[in-house]
Amino acid sequence: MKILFVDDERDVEALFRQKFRKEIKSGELELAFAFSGKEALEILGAENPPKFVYVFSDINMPGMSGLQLLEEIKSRFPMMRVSMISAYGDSENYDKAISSGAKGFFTKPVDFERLKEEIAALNEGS
Amino acid sequence: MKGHRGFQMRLSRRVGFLAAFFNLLTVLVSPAQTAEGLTSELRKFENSPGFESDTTYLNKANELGFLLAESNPDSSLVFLNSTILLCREASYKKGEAEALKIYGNALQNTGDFKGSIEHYNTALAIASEIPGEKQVPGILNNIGLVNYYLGNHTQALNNFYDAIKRADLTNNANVKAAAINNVAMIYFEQGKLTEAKEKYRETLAIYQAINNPGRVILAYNNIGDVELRQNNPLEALNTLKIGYRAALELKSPEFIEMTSRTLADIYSALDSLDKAEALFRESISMSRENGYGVPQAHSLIGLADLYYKKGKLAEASGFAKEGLQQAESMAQPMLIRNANELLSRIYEEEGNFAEALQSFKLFKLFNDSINTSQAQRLTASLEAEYEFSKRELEYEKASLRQKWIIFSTIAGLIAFLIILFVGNQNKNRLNKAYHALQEKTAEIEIKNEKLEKALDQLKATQVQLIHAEKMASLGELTAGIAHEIQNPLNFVTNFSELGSDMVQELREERARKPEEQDQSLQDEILADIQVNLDKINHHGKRADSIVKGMLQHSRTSSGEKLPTDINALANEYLRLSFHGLRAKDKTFSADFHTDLDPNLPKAEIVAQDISRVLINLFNNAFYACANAEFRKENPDVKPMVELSTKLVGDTDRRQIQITVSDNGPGIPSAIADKVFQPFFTTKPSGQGTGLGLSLSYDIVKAHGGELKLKSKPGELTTFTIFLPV
Repeated sequence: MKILFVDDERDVEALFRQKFRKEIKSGELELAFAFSGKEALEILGAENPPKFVYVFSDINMPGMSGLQLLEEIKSRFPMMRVSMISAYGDSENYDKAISSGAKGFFTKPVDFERLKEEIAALNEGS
Repeated sequence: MKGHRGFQMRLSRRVGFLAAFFNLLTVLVSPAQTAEGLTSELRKFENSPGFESDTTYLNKANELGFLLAESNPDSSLVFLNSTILLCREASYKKGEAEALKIYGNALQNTGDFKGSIEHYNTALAIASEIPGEKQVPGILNNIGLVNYYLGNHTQALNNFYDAIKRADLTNNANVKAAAINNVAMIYFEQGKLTEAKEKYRETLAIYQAINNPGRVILAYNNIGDVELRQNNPLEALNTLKIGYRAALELKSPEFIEMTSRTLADIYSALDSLDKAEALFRESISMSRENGYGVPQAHSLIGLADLYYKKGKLAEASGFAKEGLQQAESMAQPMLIRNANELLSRIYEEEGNFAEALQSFKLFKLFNDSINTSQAQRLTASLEAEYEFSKRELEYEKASLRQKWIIFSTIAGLIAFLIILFVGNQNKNRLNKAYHALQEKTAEIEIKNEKLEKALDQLKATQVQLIHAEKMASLGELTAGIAHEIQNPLNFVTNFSELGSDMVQELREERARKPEEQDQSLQDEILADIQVNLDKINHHGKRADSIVKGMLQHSRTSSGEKLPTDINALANEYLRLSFHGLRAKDKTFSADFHTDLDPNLPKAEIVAQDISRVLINLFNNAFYACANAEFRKENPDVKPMVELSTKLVGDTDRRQIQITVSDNGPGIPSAIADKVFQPFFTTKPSGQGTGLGLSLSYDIVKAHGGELKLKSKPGELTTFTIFLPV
């Protein structure tokens, strides 16, 4: 099960890889990282249909913002699950994300337990 | 009836102080001396032969005569007559005129007005023969007073006006003021109170100018009296308090008596009966002691009125009778009239109607004789004014001869002056030029002061504006700063939690049997813990530097230049600007790109100043390419801000070049040279101070560098900073 994380902070990769160490080791999860919206679209577009089952994206990024990326992904891959992770937990961002088709909305600092539950639910659902 | 009586009472009192008034004139001319002192001085003279024709002796005799005429008018006549004769024998005209005048005073004091006026006229005739005619105004004034007493108001006014005119010609301020005072007195009697007060104020001004404390008191007394008559007792009280205090200071019984009498009238009008009584008693006892007959009569009648008001009829009757007797002996018709009016009321209340009727008849008699109608008095004063204007013309004619003499003297003087003037013309011209120069210098100095002041104000305003601009840009930064701190803090939290998890995992692993332990896993966990600790350290420092930068930005510049890593500084503020704008505007979307020269040397700069330049340039760049309006009009343009640094120039003059570009609309060449001007802004009002670029320009200049603008409208805008290494 491949999951893509999009964030302009590069240390996010080290953080998530460690958080999901066990799941990665057991082959349960496969993580990929993109550091901008543009890069995320390149990764997703490399295979058609993409192997990824879930995209988690930061909102506040230079260039394409997370919300723009969300719209882009939803238009190109309507079935792709996308959730937003943002430092700005305001209702304006939340409403915009949900109305654009986001599955969930996580605020930073990330509650990993909630995140793991969200991912675990994928297995049960599929 | 009551008010009318009061009016008459005050009038009569006025006559009282006038009597004291004209006599004082002479006293003040020579130093005041006692009769005893003068008598013994005269005795000494009489030992030397020919003393009778010594003018010093004759002057002294006149001084003594003056005092005697006041204190013992009847018995003074013999002495005065002998002085007249001595002066006549010695052909001492001035002395003779003076002696005749004093004789007139004495007769006036005895009530012989006809004889008084005859002597004054003789004195006047002699005084008119003496060149300078210095005695004339004083004699005219005294004649006017007698005419006034006789009820010849027209003649009296003529005399007073003459006296004023002559006093003006001879520069005799004392007599001028005395005559004005007497004119005021007539205004007062006519009920022209405003004019009367004005005239009294004129006398006050004259007496203050010539520093005559006694007459100043008199003027205050008269002004207060008018104010009381104008039904303004409180104002009168204030005026009289000044006069009374001054009289006490001067220790003059005459003025103390006068002011206490007027004060008593004022307190009586204010119904402060106890205060009024004390003052009336003071006036009576002083009058008795010094022989002021008329004032004594006035105050006795005033006191009687007070007792009448209190309902003590017996005392009232006693004082009224005493006052009436005194008034009769002084031949004061108005006081007699007032006393009779008061007595008729007292008798009436006592039930003594026969006496009441008798008093009332007397009152009526005097009232009718005094009160020639208001119309008659007005006619009299109008006649006087007409006469006066006619006589003024006559004076002008009379003084024509004198004027001729003066004119020829002046003509000679002018001729002399012309010679002098021609001689001094050059000097004058130089003086003039010098003065003009001085004026110019003074003018320039004043202008300089003004300019310096304006400059100071401008400097103060500039400091305030710079502060405001700094605070404004700090405000713009706040949101960016919050985000920039939040991110590293999140990492610190996350990596430290991870660290704990891993330590736990490691413990679990080591709790296994040695043969089951996975050594490579343990190594891996340890390595991860190390990485996490490094990350925590890194992000902690990152937050730290942001806070430090923020503090530095808001702090007043110390002006100290320190070696600074330009790349780090520019990168930090680029991010702050981006996140700040992003936080403020949710729809904000832009990209940025950096091209930093890794071999850039450190630059000696004031970091907080240069950081303000950078934040300004970044904010402007993002605003230009990513504002909502521009994006709506140009949907295909992807907003992009580029930062690059580079080392440029020759080896001996190397510079750091920092460029900030955006792909916004560009700056039209028409306004390109205005952007560095203070207060120039293209933002909607209220959104920009218009100082950002202007201050940036100044800051870069202050670093010995340059700030340049290059723009291609429709394509890009580039600001370039050059800083010396």
